[in-house]
Amino acid sequence: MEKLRQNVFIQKIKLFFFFMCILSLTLFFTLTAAAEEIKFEQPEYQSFKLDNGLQVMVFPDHSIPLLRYSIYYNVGSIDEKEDQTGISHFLEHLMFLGTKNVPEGEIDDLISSVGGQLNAATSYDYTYYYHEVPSSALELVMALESDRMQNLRFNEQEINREREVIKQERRMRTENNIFSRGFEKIKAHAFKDSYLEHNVIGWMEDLNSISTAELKKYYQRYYSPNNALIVVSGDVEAEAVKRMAQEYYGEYQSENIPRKDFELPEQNQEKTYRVRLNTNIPYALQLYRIPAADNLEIAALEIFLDILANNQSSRLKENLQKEAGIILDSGAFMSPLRVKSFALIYFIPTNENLVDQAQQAFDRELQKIFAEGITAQEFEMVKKQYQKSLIFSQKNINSAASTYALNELRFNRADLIEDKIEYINNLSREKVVQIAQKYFKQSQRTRGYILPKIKGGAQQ
Amino acid sequence: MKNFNNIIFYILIIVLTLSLSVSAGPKNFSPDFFRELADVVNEKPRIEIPDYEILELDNGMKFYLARDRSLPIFEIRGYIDGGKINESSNNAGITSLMTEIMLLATENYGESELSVFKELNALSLNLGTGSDRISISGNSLNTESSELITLLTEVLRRPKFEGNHFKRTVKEYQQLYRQQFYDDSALLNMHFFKNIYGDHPYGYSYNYNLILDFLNQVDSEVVNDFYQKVIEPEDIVIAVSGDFEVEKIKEKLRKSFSNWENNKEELDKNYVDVNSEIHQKIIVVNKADATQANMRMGYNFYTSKYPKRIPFMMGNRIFGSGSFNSRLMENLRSDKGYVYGINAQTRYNDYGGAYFINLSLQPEKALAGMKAVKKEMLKIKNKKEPFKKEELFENINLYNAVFPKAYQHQIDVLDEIIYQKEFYNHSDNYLNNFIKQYNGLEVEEVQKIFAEDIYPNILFTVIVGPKEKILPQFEKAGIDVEVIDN
Repeated sequence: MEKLRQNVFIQKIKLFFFFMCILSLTLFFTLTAAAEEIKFEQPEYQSFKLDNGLQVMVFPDHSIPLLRYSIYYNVGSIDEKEDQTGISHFLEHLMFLGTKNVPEGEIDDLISSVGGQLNAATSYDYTYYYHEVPSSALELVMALESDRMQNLRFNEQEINREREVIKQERRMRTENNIFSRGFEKIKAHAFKDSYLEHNVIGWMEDLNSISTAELKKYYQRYYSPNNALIVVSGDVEAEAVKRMAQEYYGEYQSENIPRKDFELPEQNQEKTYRVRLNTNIPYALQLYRIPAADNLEIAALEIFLDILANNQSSRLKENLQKEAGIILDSGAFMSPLRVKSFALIYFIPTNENLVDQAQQAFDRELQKIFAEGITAQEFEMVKKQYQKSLIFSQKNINSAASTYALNELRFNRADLIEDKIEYINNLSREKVVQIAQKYFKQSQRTRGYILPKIKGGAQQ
Repeated sequence: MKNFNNIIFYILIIVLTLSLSVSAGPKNFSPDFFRELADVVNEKPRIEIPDYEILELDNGMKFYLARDRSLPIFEIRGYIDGGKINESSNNAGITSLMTEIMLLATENYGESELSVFKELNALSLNLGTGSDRISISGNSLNTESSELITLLTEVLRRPKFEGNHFKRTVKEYQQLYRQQFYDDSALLNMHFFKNIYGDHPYGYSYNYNLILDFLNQVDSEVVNDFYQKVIEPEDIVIAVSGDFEVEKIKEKLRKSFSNWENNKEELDKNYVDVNSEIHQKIIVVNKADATQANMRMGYNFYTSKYPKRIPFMMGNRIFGSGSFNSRLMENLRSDKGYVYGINAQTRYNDYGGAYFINLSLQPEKALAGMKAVKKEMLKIKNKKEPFKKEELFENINLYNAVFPKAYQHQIDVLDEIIYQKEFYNHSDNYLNNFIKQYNGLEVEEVQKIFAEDIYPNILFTVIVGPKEKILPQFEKAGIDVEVIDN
């Protein structure tokens, strides 16, 4: 019954993480000697646009009588003003408090009464709301979201109460988690005076000061049909969605949405930042800049990072963890957005006294891979894993739908993934390294360290 | 003039209508309109039981095999009966260490070779350590099904505990467990469960001091001995699902596992002793740098065989499922703005369970939060605010909607079947019986059972947070708390 519980209590969660190490040769070559092309089966979907600019995508899958209705707004923390950090996420919370037509708490009650679930998430460059409901409740969720797009209620007392909830969310997710707390400070230093300086949750002083008027203005500015994308996946017919979308959203007016300048300040010199926190284990973080998500070179960087830090047989796990014993783990991830963003490579030195040694060893590994390249075996392993993940992703139409949706929302290129696969199929090992060298330059790096407050690490 | 007035009148009507439609939307949105659309009753679902074959080897190891050709994949799930329940205070944490090492190296594959084997073939294999059992999960593309079985065989039958990988892993574990003392959630787990479970194996895996003592003196021989005692073929059952030829896979499984012998050693398992001294007790674990109070309130609860589990589960969903309209969320989040999330959980183990409520809030509001939780429990216990028919209906309706999703894939159904059949003697139709039972519940029954089996007056509470902000409110209220300086 555990699986059922996990499905029932879906909460928005942001995450990343871990795998392990090394390689030897010979034994199993026959399995991958012939490098196969990655194949991809495109999910069936239909998309259309209303006259007011509202985009709609439908991914039918009739295997169970459920559907997922998502609405994405093209606004996130990168769009926020300096003294209004966290306002996108704040507004996301308000969207559950009611509208001029639906009293507070009623949205949850209505969805619960049909046996559905709802939630939302705010990201760096988008905000999305979803409902997972029986297919017979399509019109209900269509109507509720239509109402929330135009008629949100702004009640000062309710907003102040929700402000406390959000502040507690910040304490829980960021302030009382060693890695999150340190990462927030290091990223702020790395991307000072830019749209990447603050996290989605925002700074506490801004959460305290954001006003009702500012929230309302933000809502009116960004929650318009031409800044939204509806994605319906599951037990649904495209025609029904089309008809209802026209009925419920067709009359809304599009808005002019000015965007700010999204250039990152130039960086020509490596930066370093140290945070002292109450921790026994130190963390070493390397932050780099990456291009926007529609740049296919992102695919090469993903491959590179798996080989460098993520795979069980990655260079860092093999040489720094297993061989030298100077790190406990390593990993890497990227946050590709509609604009330039960041990649994080991290490793966990075994203790504080080994931080410098681990950093030097990391730099050596990086230079070695740049100089000597990646092996055919490493390249094949990553491609094989990618092929497998594409096939397994077909188990769930919602996951394919969200991939297509984000590409549509960000770049009007729903099928970007097909370009990505073609790109990977034509990619050479040499090119992977060339691209990594282009983005993972020392002069464009910020090294950040989360270190114990007590030198040498406290022992219990 | 009359015509002019008429024109003005009609213009006003049009303007008024337009302005109404702007604020009201394309439809005449109203609470009634939405309620009408929400008149949805979900059908009672029926879970299709896969057509499986059982392969039972002479040594007692069992496989349930069912083909599913919808995708070219191969998946396994399974259980080893034993693990943490077999630990003692002298080897606390050994199950996690053992399973970690099992996945690292085997007699035939060194650590590096095993990693390469997995990644070249895109194999995934994991072992999870639960209180009573070790779970197995793995998958591959169907073209690598044979390699996945080879990997499973190596990991289960031929793990290598001696070598550098063992020493390194022990050191890594020591560092990771030391780190637990800096993490408020880990501290909460430790102080809550070591008190709830006392001197019982269920508590050892949360007692980081005990685990560190063990790690400081462990060697590979000790772990190998534990492996020999706990990992036996007769205690293993595995579900196999995917696009494969049944006879070929059966043959491969026979070849891999038939000559694996049991060691015949029976291990003791004991029930948890309930320690009434912790009832009503409050412990504050001082974490001076914390900006919140991370709290858990609870008590010992029934075992996995608790006969009223289904009605209690539905009652607990109404009370504290964590969804927005559960009683705890409505009160502590929507009404008071104290918490971001709050939920009540049951943890059923074979030898003693636990029931607890999790919340985190501003340190200065710890006592107010505790009181609010207790008050909500009492409202149900004392029938001041008994469960409503609509609340039960919503939760049954939700389960009817999400059950098909939870068991959409054959491997999930097969997994549940082997678990319920092999460890609790339930039938193949366990899931459909479960659906039938919760659909047959009446609100009075759920109210009665839940009210009988919640105990707000014995709640044991652990609070992790800054004591200087937490203690004054308790002192002012004259409530005793035990303070542990971390």
